[in-house]
Amino acid sequence: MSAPGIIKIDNLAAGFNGRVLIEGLCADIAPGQRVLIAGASGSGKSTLLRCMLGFTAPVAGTISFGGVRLDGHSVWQLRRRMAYVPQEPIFQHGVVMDILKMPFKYRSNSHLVWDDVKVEGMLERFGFAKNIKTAQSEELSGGEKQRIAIIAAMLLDREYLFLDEPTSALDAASKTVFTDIMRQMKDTTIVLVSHDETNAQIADRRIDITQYMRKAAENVG
Amino acid sequence: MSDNSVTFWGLGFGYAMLLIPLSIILWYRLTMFGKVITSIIRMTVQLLLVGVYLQFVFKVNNPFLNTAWLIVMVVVADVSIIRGTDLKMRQLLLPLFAALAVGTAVPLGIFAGLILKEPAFFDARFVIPVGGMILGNCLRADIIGIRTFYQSLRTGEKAYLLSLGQGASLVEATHPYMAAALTAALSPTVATMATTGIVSLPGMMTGVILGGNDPVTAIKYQIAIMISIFTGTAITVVLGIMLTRKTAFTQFGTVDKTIFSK
Repeated sequence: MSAPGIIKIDNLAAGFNGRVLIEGLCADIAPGQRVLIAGASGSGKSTLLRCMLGFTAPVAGTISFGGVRLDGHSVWQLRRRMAYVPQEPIFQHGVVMDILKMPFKYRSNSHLVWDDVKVEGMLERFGFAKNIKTAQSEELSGGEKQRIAIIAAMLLDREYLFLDEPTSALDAASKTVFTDIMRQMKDTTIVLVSHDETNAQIADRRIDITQYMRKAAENVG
Repeated sequence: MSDNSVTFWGLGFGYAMLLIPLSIILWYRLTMFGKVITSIIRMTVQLLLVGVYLQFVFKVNNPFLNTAWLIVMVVVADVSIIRGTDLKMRQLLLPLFAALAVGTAVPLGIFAGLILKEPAFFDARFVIPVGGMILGNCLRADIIGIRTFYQSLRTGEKAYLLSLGQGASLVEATHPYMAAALTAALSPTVATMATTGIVSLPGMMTGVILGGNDPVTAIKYQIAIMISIFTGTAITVVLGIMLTRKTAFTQFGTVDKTIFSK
């Protein structure tokens, strides 16, 4: 078994709707590393992230976390060690406080303790007014949804954090807060997909997946 | 009681009454005229055939024949549900059949075994019409429930994946969609129960009164059948979702998109 926490991507091919976007991708991501996944639009960055979260099954190759290969059985255990911030977060119906509390009701998160002071502090740090807690999820702007999704992920205190364009709708002040928080997270392995060059400051490694893109012609037929 | 049944001549006047809606349809040049005619012919032929068959079934009153007829009804309902939900047949036929069979059998068993003064488990006169009424409502509820569940998962995929990404199990992540499906599926029966007796006199109650019984007897039948229908629809929808969840999702917990026919 390899060292705990290391992410090993071995000869991965992935895509969706029968179209392979990336192939032959190999990478080791050490525990605590902060990796920026870069590449042109449509190169398969989000697809790679979806594969790592088990939302899309790889076409070929494997991904393992601390020596545990991601498959249909292990994914449920592995997701207990992951947190995810989607590009355009959509929440279930309910107020912000319900959205933040919801993951604490999941059985896999029963070890987590809800901390009012911590939540208040994070909401304040991200520039939210006090009344945000009672705002309905449908009323939130794109930037507010992104900040709430980031806070929800931070509260889970996971080993792996996957972020898909997490700052695309944030203003400069929120981006600074986000960057500061990411830099402070020393024990978390962060995999970040972003076009925003300010996020390059967070990363201590960059993986450009353009070289692993499958040529469009190879998908024909 | 006087014999006040429908004569064939009388039924002829019934068909003549169709001239009114057909005239309306023609006057407004609705495109549904052909469909209406086909439906009237189908209704007549189907009921005639079923009438002949049921006469035979009631006469023979054989438990195996009764059960076989109920199974045929469940299979037809099963196929109708899948056709009504834009989902593919292969993965869902068996789980939905099981859900419909249990959803019909449980309330029907209680109705025929415990509610009636004398148990009538194998009496075709009770089992087939009451089973048909429960099954018909289960069918309607299941179409609404299954369609709501899978379509809301399709449109709300981002929220669903976020739940999975936060550590939710399949049951936990699908819970909001299950709740929405159940609410949509049960609401029509709940509304019917709330207005029964005031807005409408339901079919069974009318039938019992026309059969020569007093209204109190008819009311007791109607209450029992409404509760049986409500129980059956709840069981069918919950089981339908629970059982199809085994075949309509990938091992990774995502919806298997090949189940959608459109």
